[in-house]
Amino acid sequence: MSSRGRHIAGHQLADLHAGRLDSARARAIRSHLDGCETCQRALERVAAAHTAMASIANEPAPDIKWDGIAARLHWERSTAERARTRDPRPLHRPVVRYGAGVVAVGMAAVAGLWLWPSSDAGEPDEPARHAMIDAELRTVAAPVETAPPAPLAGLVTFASGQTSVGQGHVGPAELVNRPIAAGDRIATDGGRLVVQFGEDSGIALGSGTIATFERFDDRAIVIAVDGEIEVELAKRKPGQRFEIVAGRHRVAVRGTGFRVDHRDGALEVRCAHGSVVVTDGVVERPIEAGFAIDVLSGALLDRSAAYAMAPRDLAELEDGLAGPLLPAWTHSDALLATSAVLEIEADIGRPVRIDGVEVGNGPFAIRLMSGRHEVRASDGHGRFGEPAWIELAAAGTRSAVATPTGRIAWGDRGSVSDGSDARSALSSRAARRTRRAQLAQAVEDSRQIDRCMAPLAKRDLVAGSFIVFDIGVNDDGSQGHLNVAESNLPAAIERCLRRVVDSAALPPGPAAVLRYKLDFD
Amino acid sequence: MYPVSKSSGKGGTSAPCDREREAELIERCRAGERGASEELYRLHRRNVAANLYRVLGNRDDLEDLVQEVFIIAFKGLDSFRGDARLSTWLYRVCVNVALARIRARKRRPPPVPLSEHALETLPAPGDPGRSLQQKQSREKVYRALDRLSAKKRIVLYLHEIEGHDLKEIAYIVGAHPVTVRTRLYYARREFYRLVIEDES
Repeated sequence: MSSRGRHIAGHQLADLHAGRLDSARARAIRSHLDGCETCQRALERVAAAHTAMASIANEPAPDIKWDGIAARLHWERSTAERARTRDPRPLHRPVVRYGAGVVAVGMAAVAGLWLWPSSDAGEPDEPARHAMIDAELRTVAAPVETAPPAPLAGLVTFASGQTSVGQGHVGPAELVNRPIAAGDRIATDGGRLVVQFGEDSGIALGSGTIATFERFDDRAIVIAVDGEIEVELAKRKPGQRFEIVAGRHRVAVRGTGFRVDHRDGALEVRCAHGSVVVTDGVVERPIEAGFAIDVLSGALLDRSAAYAMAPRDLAELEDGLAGPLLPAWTHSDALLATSAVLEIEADIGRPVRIDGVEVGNGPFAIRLMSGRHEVRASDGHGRFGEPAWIELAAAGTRSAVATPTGRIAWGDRGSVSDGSDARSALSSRAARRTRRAQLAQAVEDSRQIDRCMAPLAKRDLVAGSFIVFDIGVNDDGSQGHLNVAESNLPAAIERCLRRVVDSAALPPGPAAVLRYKLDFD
Repeated sequence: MYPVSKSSGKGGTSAPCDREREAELIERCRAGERGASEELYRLHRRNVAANLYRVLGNRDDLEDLVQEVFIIAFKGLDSFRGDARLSTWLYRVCVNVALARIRARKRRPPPVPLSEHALETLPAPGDPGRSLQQKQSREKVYRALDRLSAKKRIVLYLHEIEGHDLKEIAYIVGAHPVTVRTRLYYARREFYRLVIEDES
């Protein structure tokens, strides 16, 4: 019985249906059910759910490409086996220096003592071995390249605390507008910095971290780190490299999410998904999803074994990995023009949620897609206050203050950039009307809406459905942003409709930011 | 059905010869025998895929997830102590992989590009032997599961759908049984409230 004796709680009805209650309790609940239609209906729904769950429990595996999986597994194991059965004593091979093709990978400052071992020597002692490893790591042959690699420009999507880039300190508000390029040396002093450089690809630097972007182009990304870095990386194309250099170790990536902590010579690598390989130039340690490796300062990698992470630690790593990132990526220059910056003033330790996702605590600046966003702040006791809706214009900046009680108040810097002002002027009622009509025509011409709504149509659930999009259209007809502002549709159908609208081809014309609603009768 | 001991009494202990064959297969895999790893994959692939499919409720990236489970399994065989059936241990890996995927889904702020298979998550019409009402009930269950946190979803799924007891769930998710009991209480309370309130 519920505490107020009105209706039976759902889980108690479930226990009654499953026969888990003692006879006295079951009698009491049945007595209530005799006189309560609401609880009778609730019991019917619980019973239907139980029947459904029983069928789910017996659901067989769908047919998938078993042989394809087997082939990929064989390849993975063969690759790992080849790495393990490599010549175990490379120290007895001559270390060859390559001429013009030498690419020096950033290292910790270790003087290079290059020792040539005598043929009848036993295993070199550890200091000598370390020195040889360091010397090997400094001589890396450059890949044969035909065309020069295209440089990347990273976009700062989140910044808190003080950070120095090069020689000068830069605050969060300036940092979110500064592209990151090869050669940049970033030092964080408290807070966190997130740099995005592709779709679902970015890095996050923890507090007290120095990171140098040794290479940052479409062929290779090599970042030397002293501190903590998290990486979220979409799958690399063949030939693309991504490496974190942590002292005399290197962590190579194959499309994954992981964290590297390199401080005072000690190394920790935790892999959330995908796989990474940690190498000291001699030994390679593949780390798969859910596994981690710790290498103490001065210890050798071949004496360290990967271990399975506790589910709680893995979950914690997944929750906060390398975010927040923008949901879509085109080019950093284009995104600077189409996304916006929100500066939040909040006390240290007061978490802030944007669009339901906890993004940070304390004062920070964050880059978001233009449009409408929900902001909530904690009151310091873990309770989040009422949400505030913020409209962000493309290339604009707004600021908000999170009060100690968890309210959101507007800051003094509510201005927008000149570029956004110009765009707002262009987004006149006439422009919105024109673009709305063009969008409606393009969507109708695509004849895809019915396909998206088909699952609901089959169950006669279409009438009364609606979805509202918040769209920014550029003057060349491309869409700057596309967000679902409101809908009463299932998530799968929302995504289908969003894709239809996203693919609508619009002609050049007036730029506009508009709301576009699809009503279904 | 997956050969895991459950509170319903199904499964139970295995014959000694089964355990011996299983131990031998594991040893052969550890020795790097290719045929052994292929045999292990063939023996358990359907159960792994079925578990992932049932926990997640759709077949998005199912092949990648199955591959991920076996990669983790092959890598972790060296540390498998044999204190549980291999199937139970694989089941644990499945749950952790599914948990990571659920968390990854919840982490992505909407909207995100739609995968080609997204519409296949809704049951196709005319599935033999499945009435409209059954389909709606299944969808209702998954809608309620989707609204739970990842941790609650997993323990509720393992208890209410797969029928595992608290100790088994604690082993699978790597938590203390008391923690599991508390989590399950709140998960059931929330889940059935969602089921009852779902008017669709």
